[in-house]
Amino acid sequence: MSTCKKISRLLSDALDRPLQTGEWLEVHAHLPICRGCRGYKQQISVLRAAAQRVRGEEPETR
Amino acid sequence: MTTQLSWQQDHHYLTGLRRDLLRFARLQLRDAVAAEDAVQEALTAAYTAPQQFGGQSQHKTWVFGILRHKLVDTLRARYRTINLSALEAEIEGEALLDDLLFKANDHWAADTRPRPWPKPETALAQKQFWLLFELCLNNLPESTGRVFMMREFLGLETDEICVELAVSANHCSVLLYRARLKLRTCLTEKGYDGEDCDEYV
Ligand SMILES: [Zn+2]
Repeated sequence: MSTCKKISRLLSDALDRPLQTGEWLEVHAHLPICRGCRGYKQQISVLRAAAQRVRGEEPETR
Repeated sequence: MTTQLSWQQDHHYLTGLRRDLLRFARLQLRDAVAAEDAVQEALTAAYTAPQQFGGQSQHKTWVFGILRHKLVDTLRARYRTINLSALEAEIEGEALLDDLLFKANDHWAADTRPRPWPKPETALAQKQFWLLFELCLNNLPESTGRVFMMREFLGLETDEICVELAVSANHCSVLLYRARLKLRTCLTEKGYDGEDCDEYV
């Protein structure tokens, strides 16, 4: 079973490289059943947006 | 729409630009004087380069690009390689954070489980967010903070960072993971919940 420790690491990795198919499937099987990992994913997306703003770019809107 | 006023004469724009450039440089260099110097150099370079721009946002991106190159050079000269034993120690020290965040089965502990923040456009308009973001960045351990800033602020790819610092790809991605985990935990611990702060910049 996927642990939140593993999923949160993969969610971070996904900001730096494309996930492999197996990794992607694991993340997307876990997210719907885990509020904490959804919260974590949202928070690191805010951190990414803040970094984009700091370097003078408009954050991508999704 | 064409603007006749050149950016060198637009004081309002220049003031904002300088403030943003300084924040950016200060975060990277952790040295106010060096940051001033880098921003001054970037602005001087920008002054002397003839350029045509469609608008201020395009211009701003260009000046940031100049500054970014300067910062990469400065940081490269400053940090040839990461001290591997210091790095190991940093990663070891992280066990404490894991104990706080995760239960024995490696799932989030109920009381520290991450809760969503406001949407980026809301969070980035809050003074509280920026204060805590900067504070927490400065709290990151040395190597962790450095890797995070090279990736996020200088926009380097993970491969480049690994080569630059002579650490393995796995180390790099662990450090980035720890940086993000620590930052979000620090913001939360310092009271950022995004809920009851409607204080806009
Ligand atoms: Zn989870």
